[in-house]
Amino acid sequence: MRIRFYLHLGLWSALFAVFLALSVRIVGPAILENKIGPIDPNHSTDSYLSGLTHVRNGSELFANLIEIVPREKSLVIFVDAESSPSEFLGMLVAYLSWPHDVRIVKAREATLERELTAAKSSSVAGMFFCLVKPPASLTGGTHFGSSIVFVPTVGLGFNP
Amino acid sequence: MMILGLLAGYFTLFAAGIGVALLIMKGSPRLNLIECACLAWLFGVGVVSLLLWLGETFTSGIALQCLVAVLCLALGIVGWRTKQGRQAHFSLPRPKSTVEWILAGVLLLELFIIFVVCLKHTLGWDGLLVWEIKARYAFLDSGVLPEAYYSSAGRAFSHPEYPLAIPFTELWLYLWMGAPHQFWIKTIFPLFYIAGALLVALFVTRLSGKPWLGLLAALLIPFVPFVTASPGGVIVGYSDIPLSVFYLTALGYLLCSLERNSPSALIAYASILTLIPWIKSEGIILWSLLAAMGLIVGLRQHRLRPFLVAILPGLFLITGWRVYLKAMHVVTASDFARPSFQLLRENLTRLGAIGGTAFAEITETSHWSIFWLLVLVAIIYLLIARQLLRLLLAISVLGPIILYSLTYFFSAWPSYTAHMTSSLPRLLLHVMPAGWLAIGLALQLSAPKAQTGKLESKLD
Repeated sequence: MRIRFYLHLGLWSALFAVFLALSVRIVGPAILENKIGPIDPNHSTDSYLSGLTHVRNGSELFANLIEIVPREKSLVIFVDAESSPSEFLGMLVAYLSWPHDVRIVKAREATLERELTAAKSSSVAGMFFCLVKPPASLTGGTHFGSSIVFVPTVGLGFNP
Repeated sequence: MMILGLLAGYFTLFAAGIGVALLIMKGSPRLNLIECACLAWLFGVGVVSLLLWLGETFTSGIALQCLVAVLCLALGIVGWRTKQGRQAHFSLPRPKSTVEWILAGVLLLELFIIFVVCLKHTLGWDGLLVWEIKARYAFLDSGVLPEAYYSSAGRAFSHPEYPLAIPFTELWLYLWMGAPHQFWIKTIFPLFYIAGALLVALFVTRLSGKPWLGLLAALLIPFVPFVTASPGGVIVGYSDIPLSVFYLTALGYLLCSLERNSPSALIAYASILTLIPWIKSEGIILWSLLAAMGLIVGLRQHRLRPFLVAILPGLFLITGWRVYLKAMHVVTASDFARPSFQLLRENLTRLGAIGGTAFAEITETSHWSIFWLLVLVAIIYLLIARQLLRLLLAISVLGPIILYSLTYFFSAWPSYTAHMTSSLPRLLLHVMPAGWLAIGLALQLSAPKAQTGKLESKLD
């Protein structure tokens, strides 16, 4: 019985020692990184927009940008199908564009023009290009930081 | 003003939760204060989110907020009166030895650190774009998640079909704060963690008879790197930790019900079981497994009927949510194909790759250290013990891992292994607290015999 107890104790002590030795190297630095704040209503979206577009206070500025778009019209968001940051930015734009209806188009450079033509419609108020370079045929785009371009209907080459 | 609103939101939520907890434990003369607080949080989340969902079908705005608040307070008052009527007393379990005092002190400090760490990070990808998005849109539409959201193909990425426990808990706090607030909303996630850690301590103590084992198991949880240092853990506002806590709680009460034949443990099991599919869609798998385990316990105890009844509310909730989604014309992201035997036969060649990817994830030390090795050793201990309780605990850990892995036979992603790599770590998190419960019981060298009476006096 005593041998069984010491074996049990030895086994679990060894397992916990290895477990902690491997964990502390990962968990320790993770706990120490970052600091609290800012205590802001748009804490997360501002942080992501700042990282991806280098725009500070981005959520509020985005709300100002979207305010001019008629509520009943929809928005098309172009993202790069092969870029995770582009897709994330597209979803972030969709998140911030409420209550507008949105459509996210995952495009590749070769097919962008075709996708653009297919997306044009009188119900579309504008198009966002997230880490995607808009085709040269589009004019009147507004840059939102370094990674988003917004092209309102007037720049889409048709009369709604 | 916003902080006052936040506190009022928490107060009403806890009032509802403590009311339900006290009603469930009305047969107990002594009420463990820590257990009541943990259950108050879990039931509060369930009650508030369900009331908001049901309430929004016929009212909105301030009327909806007032209606839910009144019902929450009423539940609290009814629960309190029941407790007073039965002359039950709250008791705070105190450490009995120096080791227990040290472990309890360090655990408290650790829980505080986890709370602070959670506030240091932004909401993660899913935390923002799957969960908080629903709370935000509902708030902007007078507390009602609009039909346009469910049917919006452009927002299918946010999984409108996912259940509303977490988003509507966030919505409740938004309604009280008067605005969506991505910083303060993060406070709900460490509360799930704290409840989970304390419940691990409680169940290990209750089932092993050794409080120091419970405290040790709870203390070691954050050393699993995926819990505290990875996207998907407690810091990013996902629903996986909350789901894991609900799973642990239902499992813990089922095991307590088996050990002690206690009606209040059975009711607690049934109540928490009902809420599991309401936390996340994957909860249906956990719910099914726990329901089946409940039936095994019922057969063993020759009282199948209460366990069959225990399944019904969850069944109603699952069906009700499905019907509601259909009525809302929900657009779903198709991560999985409709399961069929033919598809299973066609995809059987995936077996090797699925097993290999699962093994690679389980042995990924940057995510788990050697946690799953500890769990494996614990399961061997549990199986050797040859007791139904320990066998069920082993099944509760292994079952979800096997079932989750099997779902990838029906993955609709172009690369099902990429699908696994991206989602399996978070699914494994669902059984992590149950894994600690298994480890805690394995640490106890021999199975306890007839300690129940002594235990109750120690713990209740």
